[in-house]
Formats: sequence, C-alpha cells, structure tokens
Amino acid sequence: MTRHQICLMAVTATSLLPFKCLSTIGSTACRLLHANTRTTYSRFSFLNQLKRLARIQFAAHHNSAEKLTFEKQPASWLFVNNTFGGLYGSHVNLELDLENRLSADNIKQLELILRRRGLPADLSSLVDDFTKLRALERQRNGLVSERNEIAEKLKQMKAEHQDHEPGYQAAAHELLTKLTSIKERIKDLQMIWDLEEQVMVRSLKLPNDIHPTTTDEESTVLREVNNLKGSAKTMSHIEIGKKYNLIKFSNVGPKAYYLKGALAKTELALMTSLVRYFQKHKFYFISGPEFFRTNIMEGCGLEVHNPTEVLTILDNVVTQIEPMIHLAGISTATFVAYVAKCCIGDNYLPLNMFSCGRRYQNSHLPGLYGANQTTQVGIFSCLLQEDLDKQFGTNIELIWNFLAPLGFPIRLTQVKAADLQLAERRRVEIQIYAPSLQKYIPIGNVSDLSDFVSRRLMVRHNQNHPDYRFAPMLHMISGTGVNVTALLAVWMEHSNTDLDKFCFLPLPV
Amino acid sequence: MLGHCRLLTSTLRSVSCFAYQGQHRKMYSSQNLTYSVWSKKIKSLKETPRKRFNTDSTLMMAPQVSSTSQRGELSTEPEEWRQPFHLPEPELDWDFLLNPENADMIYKNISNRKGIGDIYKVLNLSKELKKEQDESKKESLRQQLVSEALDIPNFSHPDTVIGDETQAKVVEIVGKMKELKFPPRNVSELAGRGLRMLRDENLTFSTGAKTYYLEDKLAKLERALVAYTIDRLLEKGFELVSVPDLLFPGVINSCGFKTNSGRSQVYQLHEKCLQGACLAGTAEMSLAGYFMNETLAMNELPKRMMAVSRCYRAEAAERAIEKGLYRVHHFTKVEMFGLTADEDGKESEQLLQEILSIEKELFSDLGLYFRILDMPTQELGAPAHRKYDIETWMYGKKMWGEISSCSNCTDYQARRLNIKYMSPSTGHLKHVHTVNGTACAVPRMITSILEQNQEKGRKLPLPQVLWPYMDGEKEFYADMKKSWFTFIKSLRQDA
Repeated sequence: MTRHQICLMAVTATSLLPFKCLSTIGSTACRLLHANTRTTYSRFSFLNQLKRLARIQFAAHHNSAEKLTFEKQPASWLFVNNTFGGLYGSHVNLELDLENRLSADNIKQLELILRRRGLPADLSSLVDDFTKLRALERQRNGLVSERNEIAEKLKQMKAEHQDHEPGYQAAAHELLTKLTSIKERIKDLQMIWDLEEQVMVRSLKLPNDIHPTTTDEESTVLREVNNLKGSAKTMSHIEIGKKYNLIKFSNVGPKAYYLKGALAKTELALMTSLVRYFQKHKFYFISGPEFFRTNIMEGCGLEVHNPTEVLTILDNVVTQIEPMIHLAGISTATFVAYVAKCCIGDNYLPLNMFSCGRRYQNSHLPGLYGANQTTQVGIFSCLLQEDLDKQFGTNIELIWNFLAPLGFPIRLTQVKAADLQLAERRRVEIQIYAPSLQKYIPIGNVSDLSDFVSRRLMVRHNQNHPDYRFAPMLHMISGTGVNVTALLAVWMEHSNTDLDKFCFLPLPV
Repeated sequence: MLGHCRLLTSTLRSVSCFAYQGQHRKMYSSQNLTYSVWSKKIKSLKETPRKRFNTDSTLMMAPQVSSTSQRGELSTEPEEWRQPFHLPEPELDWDFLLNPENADMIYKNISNRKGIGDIYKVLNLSKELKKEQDESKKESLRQQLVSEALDIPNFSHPDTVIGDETQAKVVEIVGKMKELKFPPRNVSELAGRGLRMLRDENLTFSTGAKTYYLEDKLAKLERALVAYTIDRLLEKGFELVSVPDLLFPGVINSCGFKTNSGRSQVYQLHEKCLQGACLAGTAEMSLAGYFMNETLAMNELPKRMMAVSRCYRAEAAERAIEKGLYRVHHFTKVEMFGLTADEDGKESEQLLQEILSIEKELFSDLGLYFRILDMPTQELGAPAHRKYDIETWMYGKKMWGEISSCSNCTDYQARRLNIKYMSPSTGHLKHVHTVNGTACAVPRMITSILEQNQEKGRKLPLPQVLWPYMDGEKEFYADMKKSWFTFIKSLRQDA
C-alpha cells in the first residue's frame, strides 16, 4: 500500500466517523506510515487533514463554546502516549538518562536528592516498572528481529524455489504460521505503551542533581555589603507611592498598579540602562512572546496543571486537544522556547542572551515585591559542560556589578536544596534589603540548569554533526538579571530618608 | 453614540445624568418629553443608594489575598487590592433609548454599523419589565434589558461615510511612493533571511503560530521606536503611565471589546489562574480602567495620557497576506488616551484632531509614505463615534497596511466605567468623553520602516530621527552570516 493510498483511506474514513474513532484510525494510519517510510509521521501533510477533521468532529461532539480545561489534557505533552495522541504524535525525543539514574548504583543517590529537596523519595515502584519496561522492550525487540528474519527467509525461499517444488509449500506454510504467531505476540505487547507512559511521566518529574556547593539546612550568604541605613524612619513603598502620587493601586485586575510620573520614567530609564549594560557585555538581545506551549513549560520542569505555579490561557478558538498556552513573560521559558529543538554551532558558544519586558507570576510577597506583573530583565547562557562553572560565576558578577554600586545593602546568597526548583542544580540570588519588610528580597538570580532542559527539549550543539538528532546536549544557565519593579520599590524605600519630601537617590555614574 | 440619559425605572435603580452634546442633544431633547414621568422618578432615585445590577464573574471579583497576607500581613497590602472588584452600573441614556420615537433612528444607526444590537428587543424587554409583577422575574428581565442595551453601539459622526471598509474616505496622502528598481522584499525576507534579526519560523512547537522573536539590532529598534515616541509625546504634554496588562473582563467589556463571544480577540486566563483575568489587547483598556469611578475637576481636562504596554490579541483570522509580522498575537505599543469635557460638544472632536495631527507628525518624521482614512460606519466597532486609520504602503506585500488609528468614543466608555467631571456650566456631574490613538505599534512600524527604506544592496538605512536612540547606528547591514542554529525538524525513530 502506498503512502498516498494510506493517506486517502485515513482521510476518507475519518470524515465519516465520530470523534471517538479518530484516535484509533489516526494511530493506525500513523503506524502504517511509520513502518512504511521510516520517517516521522508528524511531517506529513495528511496529518494536517486528520487534525482538521478531528477538530471538526471534536467541535461537533462538544459545545463549541466550551473551553478546554486542564482536565482534558494528557498527563504530559513531552511524552505522548500513542493511544491518546496518535493523531498528534510526540514532538521531541526524550533522553532522561534513566538507565544511569535508575541503576542500582545510582538509585540511592537519586533518593537522597529527592529527600534533600523535600520530595517523596520512594522510587521502588518506578524502578520496578522501568525494569519491567526494559524487559518487555527486549522481548519485543527479540520478536521483531525474529519476525524480520522469518520474513527475509520467506523472501529468499520464494526467490530460490518454485511453488511446485516438493516440500516448499509445507516449509513456507510453517514459516507463515510462525510469522503470524510472532505478529500476534508483538501485538499483545502493545501494553508496553501504557507502561512506558507511566514510567516516562513519572521520570519527567525527577529533579535535576544537586550541586555540591548547595547546603541542606540554611541558605548560605556568600558575600554581603552591609550598609543598612535609614530603616527606622522609612515608610513602605506603598505609602510613599500613594503619598507622593507615584503609584496608583487598583482592583481593575489582579494586584493591578499604575506607575506614574517620575516612577514610570525611572522604570523606562532603568530598562534602557540595563539593555545597554548587557549589550556592552556581549549578551545577545532578543525580544519574544510572553506565552509558551505546554511542551516548553514542562521542559523547564514546571507543573503545568498547578495554577499557582503556571498561568494557563483559555483558548476559545481551538477546539481540538493540543498543548495549552501559558502566560509567563520574561523567564527561562523565553530563551528555552527560542533554542528548543535547535542544534547550535560550537563557534557560537557560549551563547549569552538577554531579554527585557513583562513577567507574570504568582508571588506571596506584599506590594510591588509580590505583584503579579513585574518588569524584568532575564539572562540566559547556552554552553558546554566544561564552561558551566566559569560562566555561572561570570553571570553572577555581571548582576552584582550592576546592583552593588547603587549603594543599597546587598548580599549574595546560595539557596538551600529544599528551595531549588525541579530544573535547578543550584541557584544564587542577589538580594537587596527591603526596609519595610526588614528582610532581604531577591532582585536577581542565576540558576544552573545543567542539561535538564536540553534532555527534554532536544537542545544540542555541534552543527557539523552528521545527524543533529544525535548531537551532544547543551548545558544552560538561566536567571533574572534584574527585577526592575522590585528594585524600584526598594529604591523608593531607601530614598525616603526625609519624610517630608521624596526624591530618588541618584544613579551612580 | 448612546449617550443621552436620564433615567431608568425604579426597578432598574440606576441613575444616569447624561446630556448629549451638539446636534444630537438638540434633536433628541425635544423627544424626551414623553418621559417626564420617568424623569420624576429619577429625582427620588438620586437619593437611593446604588445597587449592583449584576454580580456575575465579569462584574465582581473577590480580592486576591497572597499567602503572606493570609499569614497575618494583610495590612501590608494596598487597601485597593483587598477590595473586591465591582464594575460600576452603566449609566446609559435610558430616556433616549426607551423612547419608541427614537427606535427607527437607533435601528438605522445599528444597521449602518455592523448590525450588532437590537433596539426593538430592548423596547420589548422594557415593556415586559413594566408589566411584570413578580420580583424575581423582574430582576431577570432587568438584567436582560441592561445586557441588550449595552450592545447598542455608539452613534456615528454625521460626516462618517456609511458602508464597509471599501468606502473609507482618503483624507490625505503624506509622502511619496518610491519607485524601486528591484523586486521589493517583505519584512520576513528583509529582517529574517537577510538581516537575520527576525525569527518567525519553526516556533509553532514552542510559542505557537503568529509569534516571533526580534533579535539583536531589531530588538534595539523596538526600544528606539518606543523611546522616540515617548520623547515626542512628553513634549506634547502627555503624561506617562506604566499600566497593568491583566484586567478583569468587566473593564474590557466596558471599553467595547467583547470577552465572552465565541471568537473573542481577548485572551483570558483559566478561572483558577489569577481569577480568570484577561490580557489587555491595548493600553486603552488599562487607561480607561485607571479612571474608573473617578470624578475629575474641570481644570484637569483635557487630560492627555500615554502608556507603553504589551498587547495580546487572539487574532483568529488567517489571511495569507497577513502572515509574518503583520497580524501577530503579541506586540509592544505606545498608546495615547485622552479625556475631555463635554461643554460645547466639540472638545473630544478637537482632541481627536490633535491626536491625529500628532500621529501624522510622528510618522512623517520617520519618513514614511502613508495615507489617512476617515473610516466608514462598519469599521467603527461598538464604541467609536468617529475613527481615522493611518495606513502605510507595504512594498513587500504590495498593499496599504494599517499602522495606527485614533477614535473618539465620546461618552460610550465613560458611561460604562463611571468617569465624570464637574461641569461648571450646570454645576452637575457629567460624563467625560474619551479619545484614543496609536502612537507606535512596533511590529507594523518595523515592517513599514524596513520595507519602505529597503535598497538593492545589503544596506538598509534607518530614519534619521532614530539615530540618537540607536546609539548612532544609521543603517542595518546584512552580513550574510550563517545562522547560529539549525532547527531539528524530524525525530529519531529509535525512541
């Protein structure tokens, strides 16, 4: 059967059948194509036809006004079970290094990492399932080899013997019977898909390693410039903002605020200054979207079904099940979305990038420190493993050298293991003292992600590699260069030494 | 424009004090006499405390309290954040709307626009409401009446041409069309494959269709355009405000943008995320929200505001010619927004002309070739009384493409958001008029500048007014460098 015939058959059939049948037909057609052509089925235009039909069918079976919610989503979009997503397929090859991480030698180490991060540390069922999966895969591979051998034998026999030769038909019949039996056994092993999904979805939630410098008990203060001043008289930035008509807080949106007059101009001036600063230090400037597909958020180690951690946009146009859209703004996702599924030339490494703009998130801090919308500069580096430590230090110094001359009490802190995010191996925060809170708050940070994201989103290097899909993984460093909104808030509080008038402390030359 | 007011019924319990300006007011005031009975009721209603007419999710939002606040730091949060969001009662001109003598005129206005809104349904609901005795049914009818009345669009300016976009009246053509002696390229070819400063391909997997990344000097050009525009507007007396991009649906609906229609242009968050807030499609929404429930002094008017914001639009339309950087889901924009009094009925028209002249000046100084259109009735949307569009010639696409517009919404938005001023002539509160205009929509400005300034070689000169904002850079140069990455299109089959 030619590819064209398969396409035609699938498209015609799907137009006549209800939505429930589409997944099965799509899966079958995809597998047929997959076997026939050895090429990724997601590339074929016929799939678009299937998608279109699926959308129509889906809309017909659901109220079109009904909006898709988390509940209708698969467990993961990085690993898509064929029985669910046969129509859409996977978009990445995951390389989670499970052979190594779940091996008997390393499993204790992994459990220790989980305990240090305060996560459930019992991996026995995962290891059991993984072992079972590998055994089943071996069994299937054995059967596939056997099937191929028999098919080859049959082909040879047909070429070498005539139908009427004595014994040929009996031998051929025997082989055909055996072939049918093997095919049945391979078919029976399709349960492997469900097991594989269970293993992969759980494995995707395994955290990154922990860097040796990260401690368990308390965050470590690495450096501090202690020039606390004027905290006794200081009002909070909320009071200052209102008193001097610099901020209007409002309830027109979640934690909405308007920066006015000098404060709005200062925000823009700071951004301009930061853009110049990072460009001067040879960081590549990019300006991109604030929303990302589920694949990217998952690849960054975020829990997309947790509305506190990830903000999800309702899609009121698309009626098919596909990856959701999430609002984040300037964050690791900004850069990861840019380099996802890319093979970067070694000549361009380390590739240092920055971006500036809005960031949207939940936060528990009060006032502008915890606003849902902030203005930030994000920084990011893609590099080889051997350059990781050096660049990590460079990025920290870069932020420190911008913030420290402002003259506020500032310190460098390495956060403890329990505070690390899933993708982080270590994180260092540049914190400034907030007088109204009487504590230090992070204004910038640098996170070592090693190859956690690359393994999930196919970020590779070496453009000379004969097959990019097998090229080595890149390592990443991400971070917030400066949280401009929070910086403005501490700046206001530190500038307010005279309660009768307000003016910003001057920017250092 | 539906602004003519006075009343409501006692069951509506909403007060409005509209006085429509100019010709319309003179024309309609005589017809309001039949509503003298209702007018009497207003007096008593004015002393009645306001009651929310609707408490659905679009109009009322519970305060968001952070986890820290829940741990006892409530007092550290601004008071405004602890107040639940209430949309004010819309103060429509019920006298005018419910007068059957006006029905044909209102119907004609609706028909001339896009036909959204049903005045006869409004009148029928009003009659049913008057007859109804059952209190619970009355409430339901009242809500339906208000909802239907809110769909009635603003009145069109008398000079506005009736018809669709093909009827747009060319007011002026500025600049001269260049005669290019080579096949012009579009912005994707110029900035993407040529300069390698724009990525708008292979992003469906990560950020979806109609998204893009500006890179390197093009990202810098984005900031330069914003800075240039802000400097000019500051000179013109506009006040800079940094605005929220996340707004509750009620605010957006009140500005005349539908959040709940089947194919809305407005993105909305999941109800579990930040209370289902919407993403503003333009800073006009945020700036209108800024003045919600405000009463301004006469000496504050006209008020000129501007904001730089990220705009998010669902943009479902898929026209091949609009691919690339033209119709996108996200972009940076500098928006002008103004409030005027309504004393002689001409103030908002004057501000509209002022904003139009500023736009003309901004684009002329960038050396753009553009035309100004007085938009016909079907292009006004619901809120605009009059609207001008500015279109540049896009050489790559070989079409006129909109880069800016400005609208006079008269009191359409002010009536829905309760924005008023103290009228010195009457001594009473009146609704302000709102005017808005686009000073710089970055992707379309970039498209215009790049496509109009393209040359045959590798150089692409930049407008002189932008040189100081580009740190002295006068041109872009395509050095034909190799892309630093290769997109991995296919998957391995062993996985």
